[in-house]
Amino acid sequence: MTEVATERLRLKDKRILSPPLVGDPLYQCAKAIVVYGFDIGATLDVERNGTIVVAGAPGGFPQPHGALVTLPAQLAAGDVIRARQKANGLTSGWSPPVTVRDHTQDFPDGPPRPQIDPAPVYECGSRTGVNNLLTGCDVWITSDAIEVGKVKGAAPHQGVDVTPDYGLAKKVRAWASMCKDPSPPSVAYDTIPAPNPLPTPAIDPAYEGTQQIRITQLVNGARFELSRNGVSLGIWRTWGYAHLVGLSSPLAAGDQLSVVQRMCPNDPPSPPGGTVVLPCSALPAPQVAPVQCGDTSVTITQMASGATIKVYRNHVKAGEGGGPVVLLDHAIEHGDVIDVVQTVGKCVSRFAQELMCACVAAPVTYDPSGLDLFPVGFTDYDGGTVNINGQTLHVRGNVYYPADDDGPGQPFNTRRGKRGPVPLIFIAHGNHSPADPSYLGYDYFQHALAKMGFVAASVDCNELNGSASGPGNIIDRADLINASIAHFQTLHASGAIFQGRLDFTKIGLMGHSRGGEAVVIAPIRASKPADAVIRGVLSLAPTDWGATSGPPKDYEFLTLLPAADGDVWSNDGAKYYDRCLPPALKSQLYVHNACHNFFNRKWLANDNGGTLPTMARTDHERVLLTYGCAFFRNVLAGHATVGFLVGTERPPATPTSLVHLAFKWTKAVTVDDHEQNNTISRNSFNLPTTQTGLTADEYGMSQTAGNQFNGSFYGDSTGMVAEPRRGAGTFRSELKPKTNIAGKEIWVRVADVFDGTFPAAATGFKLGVELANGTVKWVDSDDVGGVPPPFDYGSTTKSMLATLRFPARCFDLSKREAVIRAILLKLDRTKPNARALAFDDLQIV
Amino acid sequence: MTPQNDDSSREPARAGKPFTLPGIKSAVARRVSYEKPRRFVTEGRETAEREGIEVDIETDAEFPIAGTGPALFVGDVALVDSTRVGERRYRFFAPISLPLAKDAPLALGRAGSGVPTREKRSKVRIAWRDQR
Repeated sequence: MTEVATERLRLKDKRILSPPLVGDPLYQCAKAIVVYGFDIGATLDVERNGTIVVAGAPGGFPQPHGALVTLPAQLAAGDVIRARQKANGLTSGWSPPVTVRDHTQDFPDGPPRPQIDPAPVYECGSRTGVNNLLTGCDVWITSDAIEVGKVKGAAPHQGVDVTPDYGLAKKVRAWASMCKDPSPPSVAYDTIPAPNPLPTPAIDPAYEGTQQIRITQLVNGARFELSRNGVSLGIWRTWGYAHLVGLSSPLAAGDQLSVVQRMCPNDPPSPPGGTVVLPCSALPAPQVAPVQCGDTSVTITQMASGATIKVYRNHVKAGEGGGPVVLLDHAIEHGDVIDVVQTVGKCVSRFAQELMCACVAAPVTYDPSGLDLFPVGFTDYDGGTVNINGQTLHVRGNVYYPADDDGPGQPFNTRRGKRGPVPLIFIAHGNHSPADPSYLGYDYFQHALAKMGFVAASVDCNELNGSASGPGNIIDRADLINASIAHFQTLHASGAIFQGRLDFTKIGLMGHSRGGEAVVIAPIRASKPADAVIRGVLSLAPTDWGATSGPPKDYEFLTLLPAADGDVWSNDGAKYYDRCLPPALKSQLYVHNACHNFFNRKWLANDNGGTLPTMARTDHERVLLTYGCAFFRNVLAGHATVGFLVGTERPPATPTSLVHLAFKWTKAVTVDDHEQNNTISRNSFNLPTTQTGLTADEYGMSQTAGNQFNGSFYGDSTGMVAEPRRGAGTFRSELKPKTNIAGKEIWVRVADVFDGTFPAAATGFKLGVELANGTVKWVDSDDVGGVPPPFDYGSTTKSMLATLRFPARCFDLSKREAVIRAILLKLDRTKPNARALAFDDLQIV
Repeated sequence: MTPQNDDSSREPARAGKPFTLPGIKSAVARRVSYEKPRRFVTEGRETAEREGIEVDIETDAEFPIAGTGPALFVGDVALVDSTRVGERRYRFFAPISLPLAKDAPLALGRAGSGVPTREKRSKVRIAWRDQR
């Protein structure tokens, strides 16, 4: 992605206006819909089942939350809704249709839980934002149980004005309902005094001609007064943080804007903040998310307030809208040059953002840890003692669960309980000072799991911490985990909170460090209650004390390997990943800049001593939250979150560029995993392979293999290492006759082999498919995300394999060409980027 | 005077294992009979033994408490089954069948991640005290 002077591009403006987008999903009984992405000032038409039911509704400003369009009648399940915009004498096409659903299909326990956002709530606050709403629902706010504000037909993130302003020490909650079906109440916030003095508000850069400005550093619930050239434009209420203000006339360069905010009448206002309106020449290029070939839209990640986005394909206009998503007239094809500019009034950004599509650029979609359905209760549990290997150990810990309200000892959520038992997740910490309550360190993960409907218990293994080491210590931990499972069976039978609420056929385990090794063996220990079924295991930075034997199997598997781990430095989870034989899926996250300890809030020190690059603790937690929730939601609840584990989508606000995934479907067609002991000249089909211009052979990719390529491999697999010679070289693997890859993907694990010298730049390769006529079509690894560079760990830097996906669409095959006869790998880099590459698990998926 | 701009190059990454291992001050080994069979684990398989070898070492500092833990090398044999029995005192356990050479050199390493290697060699030799 580069910035190019707009003038040089000679962009051709076609008269085209992109369709807007209708906020998805829509549910029965909604009284309003939200329309996004239209031009500023456009009018909107809404069509219901082929009939226009709203015509010419003023859209206003598309940012930040689209236009909330009130409908003449409530929606019904099965309705099909579309919208279009009219602006500048143009009428767009209709948006993609959204089919209305019954919310109880997606939310059988009632609408999701409203979130007061932003929090906290201050004395004298006049407006509160409420998030996590179903579009078109009713939302209201109570202060000490008295309703103080309500909006019927709400947007997903809705501001609610309150009357009177909040008093001090009031309990504020948000509530919602859809089709008379009530949500649980939001978290309760006690109002507190506002900051004093109030912070100075700021105004984002504003450009000549704009009719919208963005004010920041606002206090939740404040009123702010905006002035232009010393003349007051009025007073606004705000939910806080940031506020977009629409103006009645365009601003001129040099206009002076100022803003002050106020809370309680008797307190002084903030100092004034302000800005001077900038000329057209200062308008920058917008920021754009990477695009994947085949995309039919472009997503804008940063744009000026009040801007309109114009997108050009090969210098001809292909879309226009108000962002953040702009639909295009047709899909982006490989080789297309995309230019994106923003306009404000008559200003056009001096620079365009220019980019080309990558064959694979997994989009950032939604937060798999963000599903917020229930209040969360928590309590300690104490199952007495158990004798494990001659030791009397306490069966205890704490547990978070979906409840009727937040807080300790709350009753189990009545509505969820009536629908049937819920899955459980048991968490086991590792070895640490027994003085620290390590089991309390995953509360953030437990809370996230509980609010989406799981019971999440953290087992106190402290009696096994501190003094003992060895494989027996791991086995004892596994038996203690199983003792907690058994204890919860008694709580299911007769416990005050959990009676009849727990589903022991859907259990997940998560273990960290020694706990990460223990959860690998807990499912096969005799101590596991016979009717407890472990469906998934998340092994976080696991040790290898030798407690395991044979492949982990009969459960789905996810391991998280911190590349900057200063304790479990050899990332032993890679061995468990390689050995694992899951029913369906295994996935491995090799996380650069992650250390061992920062996933546990009670483990304070950076175990690598701070001499390796280490991301913030919050980033560690975010990685565990997003990928861990995606794993357990998929394995235990059947949610469609597996894409995060196989790299087809990415979570927001997570350092995904540091997360390198390996993954494997059990039922995919394996072309070569090099495990057949049939030499490099045959693949897993026992069909011939050939190599020209390179040297490839099979090697043990572990620390203990007799036939290592070198000592940089830390897994437990046999794979192939291909070394380049002077020119390009290829490795060809023959396929079974009539292998058709239409609609499929080719997956291969690959690593940049560390040879003792840290590489200065990335290397790569090409993957080719050989057609029936012998023609080979190639796709470069850089076009599907690239071969990750090793993480620099000095002399023990590892060659850690990551999976690259090559979708068949990347090869631009006709229907006939989709039948291929071989897959080829080509090493074609030139010095100094020509290096040995390791390959494994070549699959057709 | 205007400060000059520093232009140092990137610090090379340090090889792993940031924990410093203690040194061995003394080592005493004995054959032990157990009233109740003691559990030993080899490659994930448990066996119960009525006899074993215990090696007590005194160190000049504590092992850090972490996921990994101490490994005592007696010659080429690594003992990883251990417990802390007092201040800077650790006891390592071995099945009686494990061949421990009487005069073998000692070294400390760490176990629990990768293959244990000798990281801190010692001139101390085991003093054997049979207690059968």
